[in-house]
Amino acid sequence: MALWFAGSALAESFSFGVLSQRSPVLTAQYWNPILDYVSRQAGVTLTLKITRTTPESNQAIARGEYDFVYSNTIFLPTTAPQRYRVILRPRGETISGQIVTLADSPVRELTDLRDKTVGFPSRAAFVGYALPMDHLLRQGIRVVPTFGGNQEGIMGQLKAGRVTAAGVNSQVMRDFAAREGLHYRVLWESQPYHNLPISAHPRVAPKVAEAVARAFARMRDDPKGMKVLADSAAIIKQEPPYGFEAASPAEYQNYLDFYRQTLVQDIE
Amino acid sequence: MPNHIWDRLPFVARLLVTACAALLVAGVAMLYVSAHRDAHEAETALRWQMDNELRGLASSIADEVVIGDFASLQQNLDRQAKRTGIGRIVYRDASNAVLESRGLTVGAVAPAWFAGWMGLQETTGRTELEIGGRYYGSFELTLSPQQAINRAWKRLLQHLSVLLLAILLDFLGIWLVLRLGLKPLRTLDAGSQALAAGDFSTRLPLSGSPELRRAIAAFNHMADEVQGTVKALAESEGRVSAILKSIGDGLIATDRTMRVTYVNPIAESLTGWMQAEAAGRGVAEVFRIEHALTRQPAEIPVARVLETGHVVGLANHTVLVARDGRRYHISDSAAPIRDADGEMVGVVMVFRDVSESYRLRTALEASQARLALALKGADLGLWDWNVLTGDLVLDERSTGMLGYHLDAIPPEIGAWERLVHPDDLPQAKRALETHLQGLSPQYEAEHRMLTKQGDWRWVLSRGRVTERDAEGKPLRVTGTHLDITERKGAQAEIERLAFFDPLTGLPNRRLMLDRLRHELAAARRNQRSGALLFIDLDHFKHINDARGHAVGDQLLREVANRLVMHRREVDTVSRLGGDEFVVLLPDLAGDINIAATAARNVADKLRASLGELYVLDGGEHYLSVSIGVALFPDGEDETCESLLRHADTAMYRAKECGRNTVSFFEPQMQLAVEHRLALEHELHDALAKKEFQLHLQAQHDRDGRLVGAEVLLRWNHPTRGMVPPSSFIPLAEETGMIVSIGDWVLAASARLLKELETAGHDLRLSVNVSPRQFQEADFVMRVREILSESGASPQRLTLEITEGMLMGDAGEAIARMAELEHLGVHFSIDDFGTGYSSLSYLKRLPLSELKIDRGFVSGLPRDPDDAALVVTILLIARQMGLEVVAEGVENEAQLEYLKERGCDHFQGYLLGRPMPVEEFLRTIA
Repeated sequence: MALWFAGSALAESFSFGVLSQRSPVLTAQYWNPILDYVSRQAGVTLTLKITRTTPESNQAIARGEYDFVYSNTIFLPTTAPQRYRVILRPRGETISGQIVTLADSPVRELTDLRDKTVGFPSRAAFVGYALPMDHLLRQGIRVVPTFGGNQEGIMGQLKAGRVTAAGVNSQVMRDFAAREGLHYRVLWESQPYHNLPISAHPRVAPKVAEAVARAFARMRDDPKGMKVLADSAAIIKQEPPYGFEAASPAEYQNYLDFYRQTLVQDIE
Repeated sequence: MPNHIWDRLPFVARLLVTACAALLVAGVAMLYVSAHRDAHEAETALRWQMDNELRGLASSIADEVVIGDFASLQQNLDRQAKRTGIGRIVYRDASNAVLESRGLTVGAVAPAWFAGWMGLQETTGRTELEIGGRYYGSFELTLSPQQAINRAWKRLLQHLSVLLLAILLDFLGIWLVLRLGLKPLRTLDAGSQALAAGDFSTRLPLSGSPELRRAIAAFNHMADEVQGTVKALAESEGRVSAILKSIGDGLIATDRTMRVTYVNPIAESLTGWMQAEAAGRGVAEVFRIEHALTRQPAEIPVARVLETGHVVGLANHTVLVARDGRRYHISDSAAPIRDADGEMVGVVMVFRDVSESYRLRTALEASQARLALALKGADLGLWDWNVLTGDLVLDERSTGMLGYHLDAIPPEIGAWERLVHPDDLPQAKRALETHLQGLSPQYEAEHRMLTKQGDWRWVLSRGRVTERDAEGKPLRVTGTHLDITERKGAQAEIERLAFFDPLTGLPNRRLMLDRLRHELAAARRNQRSGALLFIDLDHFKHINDARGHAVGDQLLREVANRLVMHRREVDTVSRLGGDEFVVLLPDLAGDINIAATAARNVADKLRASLGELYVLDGGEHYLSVSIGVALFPDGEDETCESLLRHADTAMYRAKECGRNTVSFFEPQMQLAVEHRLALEHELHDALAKKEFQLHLQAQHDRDGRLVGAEVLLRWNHPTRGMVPPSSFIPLAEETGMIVSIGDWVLAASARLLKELETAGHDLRLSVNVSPRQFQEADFVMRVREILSESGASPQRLTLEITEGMLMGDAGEAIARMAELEHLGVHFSIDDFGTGYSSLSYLKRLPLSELKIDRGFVSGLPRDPDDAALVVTILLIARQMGLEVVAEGVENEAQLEYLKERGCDHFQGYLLGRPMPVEEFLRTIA
């Protein structure tokens, strides 16, 4: 029966939304093998859902379109009402927001950025925009914000000298600088935040959510699963450790706290 | 194309059809290959495009597919479908939902058959989209070949246009080239036909392409050759025919079967057979010959020639019997006729009628026999002299009349001549020479010959040229000898009686007159003067009467002896009778005045001699004579008799003048003689009295520059005035005074030369040298002394001599001249052209100059003879490297004429008269 159930559950399909951080094809190439593996392990069919932009992702989340979602924008005031529940968090270090400038820049202090043009990935970027901008506002340092579309976009502008400083994801920045051979100086860094969690919509049956969470969590223990993770990581040059582990919503409480207190008004 | 149509096609059409067909085939093949390649390339391009499109399409729509943005996907597909060649794009997603997009519709340009031929079909490709292991559906892409087909069709049409244009141009080009090129070919064709028809004068103008021009040139050359050959052949035939017809010999030609093929006109007349009748008959029928003596048929040489292949002559005594029975003695020969390969094709016989010479020979033989008989009877010796070899054949009677055996005298003319008396030989040779030159009808000479016994016998030799060569030169003389010794003796006696005075042995009047006649003629001929002295003994009668005739005769003989004693070889002393003697003095001088003087001298001498003591019969006697002199020749009418009369008259005048004197017939002549005698005396004193003067006449060169002068002698006589040289130079020459006068002239000239040199004048002086002066033994030494004493430069001195001076001892003259020339003295031949100098002789002389005699210059330029002579002299001078001075140049025409012909120097009144030295010096100062 269990098998049968499992079998019937296999026939059930769930959408798996992914925050638009990269190009749709790259995203699909990364996620489809993982979702196929998890689907087989969990006995469900997870279908990848991608939008063209982060705001579109957030709007989809806010509308509760995804059964599962890989995003940290579920804590926004606009998305929080859907009450997506964190079931997994990525292994590895936490992320933090940073305000960086080029190593040879005359800018030494945040105050040096007053009235300067500071770049950010987008208004939807949590660690890249919300955290640094919130801090600048709290410090009373007014800057002229400009947006690069995504993380690496603004990093490219920083490298090209089009912006004096940039708000960035510390992890993405480190990877980018390593790849591009860029030397940069961190002017400010936020408290650590866990990286993007996988959450399930409340409509997803707890058994399904559990099965999916279990499949994700056990992936790194299965050589096949580990290979899938490694192959996908290779596509986006992601550094280990790979894979997810079970997480509780409490581990992402600082997100909720931040959104409740933030001075930044235009987070998307 | 059926053969008969092709055969009728002209060359141009054939060429056009062939060329166009070839082009068409090649073009179509090219089009086929090109279109085929286009089709293949289009197919490849479609496949390639399909691959590219499928790959590109997948990547360009992947984002929309992954996101599931079908609206964008549809737009994207529509955009992609508009690309060239794309017919349709169909997308089926994983759930089999379909999105379709159609491409632009392209109309068909190419006809269906072409599209079908190309074989290009709509191609459909399909690809499935899988990302990250997830199937996102499939794409189906349809590519339409229509555009490729259209493109290929357009290319085909373009190629076809080019091909048609090429054919058109080709057609046009070939047509033009042939139209222009075939014109000369047609001309050539017409020319060939004309030539073939016998018009050998056909020549074609050169035109058309180089090959055609060469062909036409070759045709023309061939036509030249053909025409030349035909003409030469015709000429040759004509010549041969003319020769055969015109040769004086009979000619019969036969073929190898001895059948007559040709009979020339002479042979026709001799045999009586006409060519037309004779042709084809056996030669024995036409040419019947037999032996003259035996009358047996003779062998016709044709058979022998055919047998041997050699030329065969006919035996003597052959008689040709003509058709009408007439008989001709003939000489004959036969020779083979050979063709170009040397093969004998027949025989030609050449024969002539020798009946006349046969008859003559026979007659001659008979005549010779008769002659031998006659000569024997007439006691005539025979001689036969070969002029060329000098062989002399004598018969027994010739040698026998001198007492020699026949072979005792070598058979050559020299041996015979050595036997002739030396006194008689010249005359005999003259006579023979005269005859040989054709001036006498026969040779005839009487001369003495030495007999074996050592005495002389008179022989009358007669002869005649009996053979001459083609130019008429005598080759052979034949004659007779007759012993006339007896006759000669009788004749001499008769002559002695007829022409000599029996008392004195002197020639009598008759002989004297004969000789006078002879001498008178000679004097006229040679322009030499002589004299006739009529001598009469004064008062001879008294002696005769007183002492008797015997003493008288003795006296006369003594007078004769004395006269003979003083005579020259050529003189004739004669006794006319009684006490009258006449002495004939021929050839005294060229100048009658000189002859008169000479005659006077002889007369005086005789008068003196005859005036000396005679011892007669123990008694002593003195005698004086009166002599009358008549000079001759003196006018054309003069005869011997009149001359003798004149001398007689003069003698009587001498008697009138008191006897014992000499009188000239002409009183004027007498005066002249007196005058000359006076002149001679005065001439003697003239040098001492310094009456001679030098005059100078300028000589100019071609540019009119004064280059020198001729020194002329003048005698300034105290009473006669200026005496011209012609009046006293001959006298001075004759008396020998010329030597001292010439010496003075030379010395004075040398001093003058020095004077001119000192004054800085670069002038030459020409001084005349007289023959007597030149012949003086010390002449060279004298000139040397004079030059040395004066200090004058020998190079400026030119001695003018006359041609006559060189005619004597040439070696001596040349030696003297050479010696003086060595000193630097120049020599000039004066009055060149008036003498008889041989050029080879003149060439030996060390001359530097010729003077053209004024006599020739005066005739210039009108007189053609003078002009020719002057031109010749100038040519000779140029050849001999001599300068030429023209004398007596009196007008511009003469000067120009001489200048134009290269004369170097000029002298004459036009350029300056002779003038005294002082005046000359003034003019050049």
